[in-house]
Amino acid sequence: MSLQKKTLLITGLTLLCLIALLYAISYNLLLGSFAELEEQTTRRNVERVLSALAEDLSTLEATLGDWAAWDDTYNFVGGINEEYVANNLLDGTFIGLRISLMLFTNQSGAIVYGKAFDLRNEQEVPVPPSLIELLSQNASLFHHPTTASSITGLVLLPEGPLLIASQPIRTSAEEGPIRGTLIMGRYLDAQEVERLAELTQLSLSLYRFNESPPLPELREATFALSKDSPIFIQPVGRESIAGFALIEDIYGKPALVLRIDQPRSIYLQGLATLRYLLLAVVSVGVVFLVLLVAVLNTLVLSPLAYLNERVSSIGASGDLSKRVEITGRDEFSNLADSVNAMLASLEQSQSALAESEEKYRAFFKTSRDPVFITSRDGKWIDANDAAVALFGYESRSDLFNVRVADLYEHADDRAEHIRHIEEQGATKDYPVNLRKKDGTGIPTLITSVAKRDDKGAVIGYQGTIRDITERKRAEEERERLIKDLEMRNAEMERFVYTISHELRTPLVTAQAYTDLLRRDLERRASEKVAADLRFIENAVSMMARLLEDTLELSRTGRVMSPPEDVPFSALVRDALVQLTEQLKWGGVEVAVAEDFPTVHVDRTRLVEVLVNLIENSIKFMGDQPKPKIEIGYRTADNEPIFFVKDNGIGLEKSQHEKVFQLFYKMDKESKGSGAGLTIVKRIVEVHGGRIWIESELGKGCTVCFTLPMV
Amino acid sequence: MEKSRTILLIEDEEAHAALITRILEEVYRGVEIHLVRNGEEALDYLFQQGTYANQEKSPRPDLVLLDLRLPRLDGLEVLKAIKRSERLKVIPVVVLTSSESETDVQTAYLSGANIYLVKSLGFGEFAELIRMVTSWLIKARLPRKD
Repeated sequence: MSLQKKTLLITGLTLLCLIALLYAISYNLLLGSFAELEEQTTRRNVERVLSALAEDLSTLEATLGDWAAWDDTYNFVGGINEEYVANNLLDGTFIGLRISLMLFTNQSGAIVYGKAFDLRNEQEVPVPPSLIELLSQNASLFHHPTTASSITGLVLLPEGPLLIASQPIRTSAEEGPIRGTLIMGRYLDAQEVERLAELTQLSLSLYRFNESPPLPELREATFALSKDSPIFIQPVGRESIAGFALIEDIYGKPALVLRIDQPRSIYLQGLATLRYLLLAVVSVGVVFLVLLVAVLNTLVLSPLAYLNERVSSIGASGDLSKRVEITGRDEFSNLADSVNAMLASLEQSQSALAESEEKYRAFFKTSRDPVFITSRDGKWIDANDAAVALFGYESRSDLFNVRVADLYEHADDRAEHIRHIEEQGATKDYPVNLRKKDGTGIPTLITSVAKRDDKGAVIGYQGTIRDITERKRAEEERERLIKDLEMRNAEMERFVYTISHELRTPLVTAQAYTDLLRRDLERRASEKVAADLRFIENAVSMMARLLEDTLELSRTGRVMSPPEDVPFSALVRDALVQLTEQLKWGGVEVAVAEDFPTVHVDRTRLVEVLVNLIENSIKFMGDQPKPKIEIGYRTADNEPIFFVKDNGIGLEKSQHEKVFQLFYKMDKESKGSGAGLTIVKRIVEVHGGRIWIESELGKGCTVCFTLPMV
Repeated sequence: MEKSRTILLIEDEEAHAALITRILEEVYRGVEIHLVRNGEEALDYLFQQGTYANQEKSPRPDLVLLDLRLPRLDGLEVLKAIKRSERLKVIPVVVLTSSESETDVQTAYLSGANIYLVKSLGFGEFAELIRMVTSWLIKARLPRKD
């Protein structure tokens, strides 16, 4: 709903309410007082009628007074004046006095003379018997105690209501003794009522009280009227108002109801006035409303509409350089100024935003760290060139075709990563293994934050990736070096321990036997000297051998010719050439496999290994009647395992590791220092291979080893 | 007539075995010395099995002199076997070795060695050492040679 309509509606409604209120108040106040006024007037009119009636009665009484206090009458009743009736009681007398009835009674109450007259038809009628009966029942009317006594009032006769007056008959000098009673009556008939109406200028009507009232308003009046409230006012419809008065008969009983009707001129006038007032107020209201709307339109609504249209058009065009123009100096021009100021500041901040966006874009594009923005469900939103390069894709669109989760080395890692980000809001240097297009793993550290919408729900993630492949490699290299160093250190310790222990043995021997030799010579125990010397000699040559082997072993680790590609068969051939004599002497049969692969080794050293192993086999043949040595290879896990196998005495499991220990000897009697297999192991290991023994006691021995391949 | 004492000498080095035998023979009279050359042989002797099944020829020793570095079975294993055996564990064992390593000393004692002796340089000194130690262990029971 527009502001205009709203204003119109609210103002109109308010006006309507105010008018209604005004009307209600005026109606109650004005019409109330008018109605009161009306009632008062009606009451006064009723009173006027009543007083007219009273006046009528008092006229009757006065007339009666003249007749009752008259010697002629006095004498007539006394029976003295015979011409009285003929002289005085003429029809004309009745017409002139407007009386309907005259009754003369004597002192004892007997009617001396009575005459009734129909005033309308102007003829004598008989005295109504009902009156005679009424008088006979009620003696007070013709028994006056004093000459001054007088009774007036109303009696209801079947013929109609009758105004009646009664006085004692006395002399003209107002003296007694009272000779009787004179009663005069006048019917309150239609004629009389009309006369009263004319007199009071009112519309009059009379009803008997005890008659069942024909009109509803009358019924109500009969009910309301009593001795205590003899007047009752009641509007009859909108046009007229009725006043009722109770008229009692001579005995004080309710006899007649007098009714006057008059138009409600006062009330109607009030109503008309009220209508004019209403009309005036409504006219003023309408004028006010029209004026208000016009003013509102000119001063508020049209500038507002302009402002609205202008701001909307600027908003729609998005051109923040446009401005709103309003002339004048009121709230609207202030508002326009404010809008303009806001537009200016918006324009400024938008240009700042654009600038920072550009900066960010430049940073994003040129950053050497891979930067990514992904959606929550694992789709790409953005990535910079570094990221594309990291994953080994040709272009951004290439990369964007891949689901983010598929770039993790383990598919479940992304869910775990996301859980971390969402729990902590961000992660810093979170370690993740990603995967390049070609499947190569990339160890990385990811620093990222969750992107949220206005309601705080996560919609995606953004962050940077740090490729730590190099670092990881360096770390691994360092680990390996440390381990190697530790191993070498331990080996060194063992080596030093072994050397010192082994060297000590012949030293103890030499020293002890030198002492013994000296003692034996002193004691001239010459038979022992030879043995002493032999022990000393053995010890010394043992020491020499130990030293030699030790040197040999230490050289193995340090000095090595550059490796070359040699067919393994060539190595075997060289070794067998060196051992021709020994093999022949021991009668050993040698079987060599064919199709050996080519290995990448230090040729001299490897020949040394083979010689050593074959020598050992020859040495531990035991009493084998058909000594045989087999040189071959087998393949396990894509790696050739070379072996030298014999059918000699073999060795039990507990010895498999020990034989490689420095200076360990299976048999004390055998030649050599026990460094041979240690040197062999060393050479194989320096080449990056492994060496082990597969053997059981009495079932020959197989020495296996691996070598680097071409 | 006193019962002769038996000493089991476990030593792989011929020269050392000869030396120790000579020392013992010089110190004690009528001592019976049995020599074994490696760990397995030593266990065979002690548990009277294999070539040493004959109780007459290989009597239970009163003292064991044990070298640590032995072919086939380590001296320490022999020591542990002796000390695990209800029958043998009362036999005093003198570890006789050229190793001065603290680890070896500790391991030997933890495994139940009674004495740990380092083979010293020089016959006189070595002889005196053996005499002293063995006399501690068997003096009361072995008559001295005059």
